[in-house]
Amino acid sequence: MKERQTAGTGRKKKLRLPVVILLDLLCIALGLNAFAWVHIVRPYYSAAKTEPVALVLTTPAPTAAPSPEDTEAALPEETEEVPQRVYTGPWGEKFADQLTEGEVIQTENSYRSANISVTLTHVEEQELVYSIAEVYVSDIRFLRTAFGPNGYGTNGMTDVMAAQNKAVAAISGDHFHARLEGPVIRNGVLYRETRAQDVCVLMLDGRLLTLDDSELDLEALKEAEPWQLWSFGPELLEDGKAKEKFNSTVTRKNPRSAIGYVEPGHYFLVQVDGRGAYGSKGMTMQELAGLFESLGCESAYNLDGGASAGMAWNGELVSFPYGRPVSDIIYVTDFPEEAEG
Amino acid sequence: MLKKILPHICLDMAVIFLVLWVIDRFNGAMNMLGRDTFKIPFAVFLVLVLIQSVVMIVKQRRE
Repeated sequence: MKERQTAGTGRKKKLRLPVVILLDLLCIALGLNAFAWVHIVRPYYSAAKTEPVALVLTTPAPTAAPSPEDTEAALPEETEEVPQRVYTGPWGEKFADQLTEGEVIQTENSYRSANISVTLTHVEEQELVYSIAEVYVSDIRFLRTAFGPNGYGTNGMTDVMAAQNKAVAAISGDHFHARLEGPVIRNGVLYRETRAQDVCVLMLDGRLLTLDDSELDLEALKEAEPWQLWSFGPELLEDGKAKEKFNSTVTRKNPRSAIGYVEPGHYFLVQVDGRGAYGSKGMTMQELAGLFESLGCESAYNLDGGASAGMAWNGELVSFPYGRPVSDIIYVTDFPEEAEG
Repeated sequence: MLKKILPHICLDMAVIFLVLWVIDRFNGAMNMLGRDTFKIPFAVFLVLVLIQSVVMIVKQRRE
């Protein structure tokens, strides 16, 4: 192939070296494109056809919920108390000191009602900026996830999705649509069953479990009423202590998005700025794990970071960088009955 | 003919696998090397490298 007959002589003439190199580069490009087609493009479209399966069949929505208009009226610039509905979730009594008796109390960095209590803390240290949302919910259905603007498989900006779903606080999720592997369960509905490495399951009873692939029994899990399942990782804590080794190759300083669990109904959403945005270099995985340990979490799970990492408060972004639309958000809302996701 | 093409096939496949390895190093979530369909081309590559090595050794011994 690399030689050709010289007319009339019968001798073979070699192709010039640049031509040979060019042909090799062409073959490499074709090979990489073929790999991308087989591994990414073709499965991407076939995976999108998967039919969702409801795993949590009984999803009673809270009753006597206030209308959005009521809440808008109850959300002035400063603290104001307006008589509202009362919904007693399973953890309402346990978190009585955090929740109100029905009124909505909102300040610049907190939101309290009979069902949810969210406090936003913005931390600025040397070369590090991050935000922590401490979340109490009376019922797990107030802690939800949502897809992009056009549903499963579409991407959107974190603040846009947060506003669409009337989120008090929201962080970017695992951005599952960027990968083909990893099960996806959202708001009690199974969308994808392919396996992955570390996964995080939020059960309907409020427990947040982090599992590696060997511990994950999907069939058993489907029977156990999982409310959410994220597949990104790694898990950050072991028995409440920061792990020292992580099932991840991206452990250096980076923007981060993560969720932590203290007890059923009590969670932390953390977003870390990085890559130089506003002087923040981000957190290593070890530092992120240490943060959740210091917050008193029993388990914690890293979500998609980098340019995906974002946090919104009342529909407005509170984080940087902010570069990539993502497949999903995790959010806290006072209006689960109006949620789109 | 095959003797002339074989080194180029090995070279091209080696570069392709190196590129995939680098992508995996930077973004482990892509999981390029862990996919089942990666393993067959990689096995083919190993066989081709084996054949090429045998051909080269035989050629060297004859010279």
